[in-house]
Amino acid sequence: MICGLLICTSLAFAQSVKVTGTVTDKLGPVIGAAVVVKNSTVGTVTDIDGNYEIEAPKNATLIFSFVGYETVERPIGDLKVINVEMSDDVKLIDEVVVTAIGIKQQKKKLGYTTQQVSTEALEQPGTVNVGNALSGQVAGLTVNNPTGIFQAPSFSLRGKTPLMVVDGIPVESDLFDVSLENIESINVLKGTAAAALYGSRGKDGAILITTRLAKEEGLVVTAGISSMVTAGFTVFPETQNEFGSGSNGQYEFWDGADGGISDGDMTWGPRFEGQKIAQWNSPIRDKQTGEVISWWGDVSGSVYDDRTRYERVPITWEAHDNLKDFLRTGVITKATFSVANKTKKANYNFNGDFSKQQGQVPNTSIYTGGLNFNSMFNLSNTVTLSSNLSYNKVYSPNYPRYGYGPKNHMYTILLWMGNDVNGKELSQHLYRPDSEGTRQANYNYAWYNNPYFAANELTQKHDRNTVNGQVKLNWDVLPGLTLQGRAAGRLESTFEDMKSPKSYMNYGDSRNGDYKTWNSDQLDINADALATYTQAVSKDFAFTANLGTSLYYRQIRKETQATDGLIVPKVYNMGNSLNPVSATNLMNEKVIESVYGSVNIDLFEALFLTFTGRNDWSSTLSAANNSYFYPSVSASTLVNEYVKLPSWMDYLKVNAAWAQVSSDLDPYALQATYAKGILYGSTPSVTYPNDVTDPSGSGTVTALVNPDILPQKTSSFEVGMSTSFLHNRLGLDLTYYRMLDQNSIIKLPISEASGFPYRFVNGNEYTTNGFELIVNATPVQNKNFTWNVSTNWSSNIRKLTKIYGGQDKFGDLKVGDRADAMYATEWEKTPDGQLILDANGMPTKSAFTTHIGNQSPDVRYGLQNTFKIKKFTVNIDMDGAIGGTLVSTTTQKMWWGGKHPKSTMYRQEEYENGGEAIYVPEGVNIVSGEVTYDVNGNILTDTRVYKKNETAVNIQTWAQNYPYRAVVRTSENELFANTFNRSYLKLRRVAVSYDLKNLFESNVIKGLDLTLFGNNLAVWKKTPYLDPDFGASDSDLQDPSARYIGISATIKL
Amino acid sequence: MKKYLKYIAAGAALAFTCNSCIDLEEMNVDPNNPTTTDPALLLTGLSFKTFEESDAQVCHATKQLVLTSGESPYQVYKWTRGGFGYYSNLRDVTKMKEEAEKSNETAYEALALFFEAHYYYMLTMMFGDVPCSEALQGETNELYQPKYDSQETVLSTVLAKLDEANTLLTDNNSIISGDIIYGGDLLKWRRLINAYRLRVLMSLSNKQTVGGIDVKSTFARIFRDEPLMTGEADNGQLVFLDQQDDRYPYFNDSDFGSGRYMDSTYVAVLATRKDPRLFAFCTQTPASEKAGLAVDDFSSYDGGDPAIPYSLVNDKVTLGGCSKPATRYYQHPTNEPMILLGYTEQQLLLAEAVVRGWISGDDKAFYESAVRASFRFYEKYASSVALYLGEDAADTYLQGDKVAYASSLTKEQKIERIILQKYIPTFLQGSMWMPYYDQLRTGYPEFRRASGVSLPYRWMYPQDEYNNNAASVQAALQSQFGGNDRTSDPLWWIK
Repeated sequence: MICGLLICTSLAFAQSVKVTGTVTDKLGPVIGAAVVVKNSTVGTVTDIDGNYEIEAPKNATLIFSFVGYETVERPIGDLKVINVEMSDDVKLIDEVVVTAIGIKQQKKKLGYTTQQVSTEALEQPGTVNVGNALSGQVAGLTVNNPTGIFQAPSFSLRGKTPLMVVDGIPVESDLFDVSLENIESINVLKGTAAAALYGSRGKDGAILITTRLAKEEGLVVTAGISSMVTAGFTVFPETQNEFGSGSNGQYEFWDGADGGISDGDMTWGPRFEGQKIAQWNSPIRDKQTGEVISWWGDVSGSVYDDRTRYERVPITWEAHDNLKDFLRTGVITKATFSVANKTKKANYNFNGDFSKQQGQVPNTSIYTGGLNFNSMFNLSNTVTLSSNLSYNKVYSPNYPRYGYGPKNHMYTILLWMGNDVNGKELSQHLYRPDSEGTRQANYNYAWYNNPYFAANELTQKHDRNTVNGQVKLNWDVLPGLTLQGRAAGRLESTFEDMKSPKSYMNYGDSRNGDYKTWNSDQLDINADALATYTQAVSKDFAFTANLGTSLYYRQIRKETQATDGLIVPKVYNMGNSLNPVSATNLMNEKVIESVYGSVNIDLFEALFLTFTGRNDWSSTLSAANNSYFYPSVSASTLVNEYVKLPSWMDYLKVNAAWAQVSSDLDPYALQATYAKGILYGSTPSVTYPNDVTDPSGSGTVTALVNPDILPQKTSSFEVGMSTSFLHNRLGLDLTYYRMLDQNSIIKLPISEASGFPYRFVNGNEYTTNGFELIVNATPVQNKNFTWNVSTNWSSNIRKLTKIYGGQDKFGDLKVGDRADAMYATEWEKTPDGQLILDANGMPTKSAFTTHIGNQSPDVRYGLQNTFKIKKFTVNIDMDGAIGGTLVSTTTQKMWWGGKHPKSTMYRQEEYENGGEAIYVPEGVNIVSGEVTYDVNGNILTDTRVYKKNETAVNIQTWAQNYPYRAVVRTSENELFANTFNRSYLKLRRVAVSYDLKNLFESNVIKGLDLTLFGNNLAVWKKTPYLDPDFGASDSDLQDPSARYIGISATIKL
Repeated sequence: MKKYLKYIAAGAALAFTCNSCIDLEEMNVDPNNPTTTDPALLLTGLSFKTFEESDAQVCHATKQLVLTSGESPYQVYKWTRGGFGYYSNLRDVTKMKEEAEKSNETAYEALALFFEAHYYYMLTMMFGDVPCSEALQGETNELYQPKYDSQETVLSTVLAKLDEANTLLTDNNSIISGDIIYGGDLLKWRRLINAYRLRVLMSLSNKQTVGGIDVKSTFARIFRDEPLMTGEADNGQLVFLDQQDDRYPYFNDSDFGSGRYMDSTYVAVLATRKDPRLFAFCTQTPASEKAGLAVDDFSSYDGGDPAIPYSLVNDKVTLGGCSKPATRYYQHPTNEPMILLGYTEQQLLLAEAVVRGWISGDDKAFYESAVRASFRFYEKYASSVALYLGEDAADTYLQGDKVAYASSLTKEQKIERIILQKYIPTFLQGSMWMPYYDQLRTGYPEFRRASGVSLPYRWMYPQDEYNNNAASVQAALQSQFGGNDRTSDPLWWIK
């Protein structure tokens, strides 16, 4: 085979000639420019004088390229000397990007900020969800990456939630049903002006995803396969490994619900010293006969439940590495193919993908797959018909359950299961020997599930089918006049169910087995028509006008059913319900009708103005208030067109934009209704009112509705500049923006004595200031080594600048506070910050809340490096955040439960001291005096006199209170802190690619890329045990953050 | 070419026609939920919510339970703020009243008045002054920052509402549905309402009058003129069903599986009186169980000391020395009914009134009928120990030391016995804070606590009121406590 390739190669060069020449630009020789023989691997670079020399076949073509210049192709023919003068590549700003409602625009004409995502970042897989791949790539776009399988990433663009648009159609998707391989480009429209044409749905910016069409003429077939596996953990929570279950150093299992010695909860038990203790997996001994029976779990309800006759045989007390044993290697495999063809008449791309992810948690997996067909037909010279049809499936036979509760394996294993519990035996004995199918075998029967029983016997299914169709007809009516009509429909049908076995414990649910199903359908219809007229009146004046109308309709239908206990174990059917089945259903609809228009004016090829306007009519507001208008104006200018810039400056673009957008509510939020209440026997009931959707996005809320609510309004102003130096060796983009949210639809907290905790009003004003900086550079460029680096920095600070009705406070927040300010309860302290301890040496919770920080980081940043080393391409991406505050539930609960790594101190000493307390907390006691406060917690009078605390406190008592029951910041106490700085820097991705095509010549294979990559490789952070990249809250109890490594191969025919 | 034009024109025309044919307002009418309802539907939910209420935390304050998994602020009397959640329950009451007024159904209006009285009573006893006359008018009158009424005003309003409820139900022949407490028997509701009036009046035994109402004579008049409960069949109680939403509130409650033990002082109260209801309340200690002691052996029950640091209680637990609440409380889906106000309490209120000279009657008979009713209740619902709770057992008990009621006892001794019999059956029951308030009022029973710790009189107002109704709460604090908001300041009713 190799031999054949060699022959091939030598044949190809049979008639080669030597060509020389010089590559220059307006200023002189270009050093390091690449000279390559087209369709081959033969190439060289220019020397210090811009000269080159190359051997190539006579019929070949030479390609001259250098970053920042337009690439030049020259056929050789009979020439021996080919000199080339390269010109600046203005492509960067002439580049056409897709903007709102699918209108294509040259980048230089944009008065607002958009950022195209490097497709390189998307081409290399390493994530199952497209969203994760966007982490750190776009200035101002924050992607949170939860660590568990099937936990969707969340986005925030300039602090708000952007609209997702796929091929011009807004979609509501978690992106598991969008195939990475089918994406041609992603463009992020930042801020209000950019997305103003999308109306209320796009008020917070938009992420535009464009799917693939054939790029080049002729038939191209590609196929790819990739696979990755977890390779250790980037963040793994540590626990103490010295003491086991129990309390005050004591433990003995009887019923796992405090019937033994402290066997109901907690990991404050005896030290692991190989001693013998009765445990959940201890055999049972008949004290009368001496017979010993193997047993796992409690004995309640069995003949052995008689402590006068039976006892558990003590077994060795030792530690196990349960979390590591529980988690398995995660594996993601992915296969894709595409067939694309482009002819004069038609262009189509058909692609399919399939991926399987095996989760780290046992018995969890997700399958995703899809078929997409994109086509474009030139029906005549002036009419094109585009269509897009796709089907995607997301299927998980079982995925893990998160949140703080006994369904979550992390809740059990990390926080509440002592390391004395033998995890291997838990996995081998899911049921008690006498109760197969009805009673789990476990170490605890008060609070927790056997995590293996929970993982294997309870399953939660998700089965989603998404069908998407779109037809677009484009007609160039006259030169300059285009009409376009488009209709799209998307139907997402999801079936979910949950099968809970008997004895499965979930607070609030039956422990008698349970089956629940959820069916939901969401139909989105979008139809629009758009007329575009473009005319270049003269060289110095051109304009484009757009006029359109659109209709958006959304319908959601949901049905849920649940059993109340099962008759026969493991038969998951509504007919097997012990008690009456409960069922609910829901339907909601919404329409937005719109007209919109825009005018773009180009003056002197240097000044570009855009005016847009849109009016929406929404069904969710009252007739009087349901019409709202969004104007926007933006301008950009190329300073270099009329000011002579220094020669090292390529261009300078300055832009500014202003826009105002409004938005509506969810359906049915104008009128209060009764909600279904409990069913007592067969007597039904209602309660008032039915909760309505919270406009601030926190689910549903009990609030007084307001039929006269007005649309909320956001005005934004932004100014930016973009420039590049030294033929694009260095590029710079800077944007500053200011957003003013007025008439915000807020749930205003009111006195609960009014009957409602909140009411909806238009009020509060928020001001957001932000900046975004992008720097691209090519610090090194020569024949064997090129280094491209791109970095982005952004900051977004949203402050509450006015409160409804001039009130002093909005909940805990005061005017001038950041909107994400966090208020929490701290321990009482003296005015100079010393902890006040009572007579028992214990702290007291303050009756007032304190501002403890702000939730979001102040600054976010990303850094992308591309190294080209000979034929290898190496990508190294990093991103991170600076600032932000996180109250760690995980840390708090680890202290309480006794699993915290530092919770071992003083324990044994105390037990050996006869239980006498040793630890003397630092703080003061009040000797005399009193303090009084005003309603805001400010001290009015204070006559307190203190002395240093000398009372020792039982360490378990201290650990279960001080670091758990109130906020402790690192500045207050490093050791017991539960509130941390969110800053981190993450090594997101390293990828090494090589085109194997460099090794051989073939007419059939056009490319064969091989990539080795790693994802989520390392993190530097200030928060212990958690991955701060996870998102806003850690109360979901993160899975350990896995490191992934993988390999992918793509063949192009 | 032309044919495309045709399609586009048709498409555009369709889009515009569609736009005009959709009625946007009509689309926004919720098809899933009603905007008006029958008051009966509100009564069902409201009754369940109200009568179901019980709080194990209360048992920590009333020295019936101890916590070993953490420090219970109730057990050590270190609580701070309370919540205004009852106003949310009152929202449904307000709606029931509204819906009843629409159709002029006075019976529901009367029941609404009872629920209002109950919640305002609970609220004012917790905090002192609370919003009342201006409360619950957010929806109807756009009143979002209601002013606070003095406790005296609130309490007199409570009594007035109960009075009105009783009046509305007098000779009321209407038929109501959705009544899961009394099955539509309005006379029984009247009995409960009047018993509730006695409860409120008795809690004001330190006062002569409340807002112009004479405490003593009003009590006497109700006793003389109004129907009262005639037996435990009249109990204001909720019976639980083994069906989703309808189960006993502590069923499957994990807290019972760890850290929750009996309070030694409560066990002692029962054991020293040889009160067999002890067997219905808790299990034997593990040590006694292992040793095979008999269920009716009073020495086989014990609890933790509520006055020592919680972690030290563990030492006794470790030795198998602490009893836990009986398993029926968390393993039986219906366990026992929750009594908001029952016959036992009513009879003891009457007994106390006789002792105080408010009414004339046979206080001993009242006292004994109360105890017998309580025994019958546990005989019925704690079936595994029913044999210890029969009529004979009650007879024996009523002869016992510290229990037997004789006219030879001093007034103070009588009151102590009466309050104690009120206190004993409140274990995990629906009486909420009533035993605590009785303690504040009479000093019985003694609540054991570490030295230097005094019993709080109230709760601080919710932080939300400071944030959202600052002027009103400030005015209330000023007029009651000179501006301070502390748990140690006594309220009007106890002064």
